[in-house]
Amino acid sequence: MKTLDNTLQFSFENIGYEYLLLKFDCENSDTLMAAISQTVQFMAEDDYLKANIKDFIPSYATILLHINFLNTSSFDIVHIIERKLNQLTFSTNKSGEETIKLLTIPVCYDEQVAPDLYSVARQLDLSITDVIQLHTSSIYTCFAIGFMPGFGYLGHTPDALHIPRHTTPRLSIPAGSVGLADNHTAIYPNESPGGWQIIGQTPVKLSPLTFDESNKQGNLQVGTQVKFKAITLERFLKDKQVVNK
Amino acid sequence: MKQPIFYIIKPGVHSLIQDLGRIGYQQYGVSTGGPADIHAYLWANKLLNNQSNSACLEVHFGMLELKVLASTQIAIAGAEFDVMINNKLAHNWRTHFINKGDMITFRGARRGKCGYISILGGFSSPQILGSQSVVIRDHLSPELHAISKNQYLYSHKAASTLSKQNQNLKQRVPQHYIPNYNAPLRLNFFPCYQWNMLSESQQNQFLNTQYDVTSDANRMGVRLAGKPITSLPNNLQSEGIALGSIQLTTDGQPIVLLNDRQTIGGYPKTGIIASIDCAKLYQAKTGHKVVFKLASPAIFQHKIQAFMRFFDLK
Repeated sequence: MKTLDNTLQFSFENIGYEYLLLKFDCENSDTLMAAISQTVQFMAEDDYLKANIKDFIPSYATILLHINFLNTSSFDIVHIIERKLNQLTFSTNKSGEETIKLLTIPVCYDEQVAPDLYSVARQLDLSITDVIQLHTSSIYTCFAIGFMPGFGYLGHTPDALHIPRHTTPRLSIPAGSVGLADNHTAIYPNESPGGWQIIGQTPVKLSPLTFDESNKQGNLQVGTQVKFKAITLERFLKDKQVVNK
Repeated sequence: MKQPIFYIIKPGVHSLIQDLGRIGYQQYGVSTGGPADIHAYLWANKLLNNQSNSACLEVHFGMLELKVLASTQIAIAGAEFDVMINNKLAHNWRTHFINKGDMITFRGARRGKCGYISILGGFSSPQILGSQSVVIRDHLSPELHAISKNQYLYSHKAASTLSKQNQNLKQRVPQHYIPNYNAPLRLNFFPCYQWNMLSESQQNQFLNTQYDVTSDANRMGVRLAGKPITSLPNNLQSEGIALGSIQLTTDGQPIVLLNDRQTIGGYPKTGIIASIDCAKLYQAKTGHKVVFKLASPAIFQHKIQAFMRFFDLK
């Protein structure tokens, strides 16, 4: 482990011969995420890294790198990333803030599109208004994307909203459904089976196919900050129509 | 210009268009896909002097029937399906001329599980995020689906022009390159990820167990069965999953994760197997015996580099 910024440490592990796992260690999850976001950013900006890293997966405290080992060696990649990391500062309220983007995602919490809202409120001993208020009052960080394309693990939810997922998953959850599970919240970008507690639905599309300049709203990345905004059923139906055109 | 080449009379159990895969989108949770048996896929293209990334039809379990709509050349490689062209056996691991009106049929797989048909210039099909590979569970686009009845398959270029260039091309894979899918499997294993969190006795058990391939095997992964490894670390943070990662499930059995795997996961992993061994494992049938053999990444890197240069992979 090498130390950066007193609190943040990192190390590399070889995963077979064509992958590297960059591991960060820090007690402060904001600093950790700032380090990951900035690493992803400098990897995209550095010509050598861009040409020699085929694919990468950031998730919570690690970034898995798939190396083009015909052209480079893991020693070179480690060396360059180490040097870059040593040049960065990770105190979140300085350089971090400029790079972190905040997505505001409209969510309709009407029971017509929120099949679990009532039972969630009852189980957590809250009113429906409390659940909506708690869910929309926090800023969440996207810690990882997985399970399906564009499915971001957003955390952490306020303690009062912690609830286990359904023991038996539903066979089908509509695209755009917003769920709760343990201390996370997430949006199902596509229709899918799933066990999360569905408390609303967004008209916004979060599929990776919409990752272009024209649809920045759908562009969820690891490190992105997310806030939810309550919208009416009427607004939801209107926006959903536009998206589906 | 694309040209219809095949009309699908019987789609088979699970037939998918695959190229080398969707590279660069795993950070968004998009699986790479790509050929389940990269070795057979690459030979299918190399036999026709196609580019290594040319899309092939990956046939699982066989039971496919195609009508030929234009004369061209194909190559077949991979599992032994006893492919017939107009009721005449078309040998595996070879190129074949096909003519308009021919019927091509695949029976059930006799050896191995999946095989490939390549055509001159490769199949033309919708390209999404830089790849034609079909990953069913990702639902990236309604255009990316398994081959269905009454569907047409297209080639990239007009078949007639290509056929002229390759008129004398009749090729077969040299015998010593043709794998025996029934041979016992010793998978080259690189300990990493949570390996050091396992006790010495758990590590020894993993290395000394002869596992059976189970029927729970598909393009996402192959589940193995042996004496379960108990008392595993839990509450791990999810991390990126490399091709060939060996994940231990809560019941202590290993799953080797393949092309259509999820991009992240939080189960403990003992390490990974060599990427080219994933192909052999995928072809292994239920009950096939598997052991893990410690391998040196440095030595293996040279082997894979030679493999990649041979097939012109970048």
